[in-house]
Amino acid sequence: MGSDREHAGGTHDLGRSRTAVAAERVIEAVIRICGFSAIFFVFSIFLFVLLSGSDFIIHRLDIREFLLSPEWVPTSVSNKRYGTMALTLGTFSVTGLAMLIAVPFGLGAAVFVSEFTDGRTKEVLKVVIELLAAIPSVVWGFIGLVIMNPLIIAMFDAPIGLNVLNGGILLGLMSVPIIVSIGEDAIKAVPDSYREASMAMGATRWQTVVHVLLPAARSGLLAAVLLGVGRAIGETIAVLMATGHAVQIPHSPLDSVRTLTATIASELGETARGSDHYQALFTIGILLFALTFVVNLSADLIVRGVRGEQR
Amino acid sequence: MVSNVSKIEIRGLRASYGDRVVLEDVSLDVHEGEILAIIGPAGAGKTSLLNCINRMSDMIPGMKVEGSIRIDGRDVRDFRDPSEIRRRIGVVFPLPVGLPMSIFDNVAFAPRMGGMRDKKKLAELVERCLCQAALFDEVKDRLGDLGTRLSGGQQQRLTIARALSLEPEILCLDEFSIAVDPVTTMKIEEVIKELKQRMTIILITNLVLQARRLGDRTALFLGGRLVEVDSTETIFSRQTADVRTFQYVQGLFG
Amino acid sequence: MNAALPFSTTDVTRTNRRRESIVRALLGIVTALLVLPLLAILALLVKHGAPALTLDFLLSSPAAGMTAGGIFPAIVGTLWLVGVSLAIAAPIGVLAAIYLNEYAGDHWGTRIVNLAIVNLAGVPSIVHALFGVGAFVLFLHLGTSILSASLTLAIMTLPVIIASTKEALAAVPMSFRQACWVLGASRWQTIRYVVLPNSIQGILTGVILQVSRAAGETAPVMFTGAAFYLPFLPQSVNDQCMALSMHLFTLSTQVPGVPEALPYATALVLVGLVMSVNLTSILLRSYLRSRRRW
Repeated sequence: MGSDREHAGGTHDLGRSRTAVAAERVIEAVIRICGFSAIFFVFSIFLFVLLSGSDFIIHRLDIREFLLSPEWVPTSVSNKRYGTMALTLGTFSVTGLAMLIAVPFGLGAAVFVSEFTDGRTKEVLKVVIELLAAIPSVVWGFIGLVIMNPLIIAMFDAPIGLNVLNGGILLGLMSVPIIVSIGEDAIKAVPDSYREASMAMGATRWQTVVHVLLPAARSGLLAAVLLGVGRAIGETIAVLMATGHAVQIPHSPLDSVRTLTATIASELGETARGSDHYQALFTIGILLFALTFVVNLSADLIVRGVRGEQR
Repeated sequence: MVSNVSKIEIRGLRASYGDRVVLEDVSLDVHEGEILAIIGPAGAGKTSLLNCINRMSDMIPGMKVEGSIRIDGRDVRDFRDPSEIRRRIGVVFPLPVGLPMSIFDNVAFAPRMGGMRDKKKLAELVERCLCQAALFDEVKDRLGDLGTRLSGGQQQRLTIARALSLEPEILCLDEFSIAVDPVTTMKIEEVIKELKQRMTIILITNLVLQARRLGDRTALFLGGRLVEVDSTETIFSRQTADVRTFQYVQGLFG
Repeated sequence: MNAALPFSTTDVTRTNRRRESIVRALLGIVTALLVLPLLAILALLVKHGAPALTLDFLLSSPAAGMTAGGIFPAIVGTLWLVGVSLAIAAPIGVLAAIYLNEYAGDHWGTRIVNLAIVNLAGVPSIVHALFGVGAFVLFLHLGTSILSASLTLAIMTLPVIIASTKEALAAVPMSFRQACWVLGASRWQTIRYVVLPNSIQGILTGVILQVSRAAGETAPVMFTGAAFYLPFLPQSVNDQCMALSMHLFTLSTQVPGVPEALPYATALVLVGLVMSVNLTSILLRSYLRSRRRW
């Protein structure tokens, strides 16, 4: 007996053809190369942006001035100043206003879509929200220029309608879809048994939402809001077009501002490679990078934590 | 058919995931043509043993295997392509897994991956395997339906048919009855008795009585160690070498 | 009848029911207010843009200092940019995701890479623009060209494609893979015949969504390859090109005296393009979801 096989025609001795095995090797090599090159690209972005600003950061950057001075005068002949305070506050004010709009609307809509609709209505609403997310930011900026601008001037008797209010409303609408879709996922992820248990005790749908679903989904909802914030901080063209291009610390929603992103977009074309100004823009890039990194990382960790708990 | 020739020889086997040792100092022979029943509580290392034999351990991140496992005298680690061993060992998992393809394709999958193209041969093979697994009559009119849409018991027999499609020399069943109703379990047990004529069978089971019904020999594992292996009669008698065996089969712990 | 009870249950129920319907109405209004802008924007674009949207507009070049004429070079340029960037990012992204999900295993190295990818997916597009200018235009001396701009868009879409592809692959249960492996199928055979056929819908929707994103982005192409105005069509990837998004930006901020209908019609074309791509992906997804096989 031993290794003698009694059942003739066993299929495992068919073996695969040499070419099939060789082709597989090639494919796997390509997959590996793509994997490594993608990893390389990903890290090269971090490194490149960091290195491009490094000379400036190390030799000329006064970190205190950079973060705390409101004076951004990179093109002055005699006295160049690189303070980003005004720009940072511009970003924060527009983002803050955007969240005032996007958070209640986004979470409200997430609850509505998840708990108060079903079937076709739900599908249609989700598609609409998705399409809202698809509108390019330059189109939002255009709307800000031609629709919101005159509207704000007329309604608030403001000298100019390109300001924090305008940009905030646009950014709010732009961030809403991500809050709705991630928020809805979070609410949907709450096990049905929670809902049933709550309803069985006689709670209404709304009571179930407030007392059971929202507490159970709170991490996911927080992550949704954070991703919305990340989206708002990073938006460029729409705020460039709609916030009026004034480097100043805003005192009211009707003041014009300029954000970190808009500053890069409006000045990158005019700088010489390697100049202080060029490197200062990269430093702003690093600042933006760090801001969105913290925001997205927290959202990611929160979502991961949620998934971990559910397992 | 049962002989004393060893089909599988395991010597000094040790397996671990990181710091956690799941198998320690296991030496065990599986004889050609027998049904070896392996019993033991959850976490005893039964499934890990199986993963070592067919080198699925390669696919499990962080799993480390020491010692030797020989099939027909050849160490499993000498095979450059682990697929070759896996084609000689059919495996049935605890939970039935129908692949997301037609019933026919499920059974034809492994031969096709092995390079078999002949349509007529494949059709014959699929029918034969489904018959052997006592499933053919239930599905013969709908071989094009999705394997994943079958009931749990049917999917488990589909899994057996799939494991048989390579005409393996060794068939390993890992707690196959866990997700199957009693009637299907009895059907599959009949299938196993049939198959014993043609192959060596390792039956991992959590049901002590199933081991008694089917096993030629029975091995008891506890905490990653082999406690005792002997003829099923001996294991289920009062003459066990180790008192824990007696206690376990009598249901005194586990 | 209920006098013995401390409170009347029917009253509570009634209050609850009333409150419930008020809440439902409020939430409905909130949601409707989100649907409204989409409809309003589309209506405005159509109202002001449609009259100018003629075949001639689509097929001719801008004229008279961009205050007249059409958007043909911008349409062609956008197709170039999207096509080239997709040709780079889609295969690399999908294969890289296969590598990360099916081959790389789970250890601290892959965890760092995954973290980097997730975060890079959320990095502002203007940072990608900075990278594009620094790395492609200047460092690699590719100049402002379709190649530079497409590479920038590719770098921008790559992490998202990797992330969405990985998610689609991970949705295929591990048990299928194990079942294939024990049958002697190799890793690649398992991927090719079981994992990919059952995740292709998710992979495709992810890639298509990035097509629409690449078509709509302005900042990454602004300094890397898109020009304000070019009288000729690009002949190769080394040329600059116009782009719809950039053209809309230029028309509405840089050029005085543009008749109102021109930017509206341009925006209408851009939104139409992007939305039809998105709708395709939505339809594809719902079609393939209906044929889910487990």
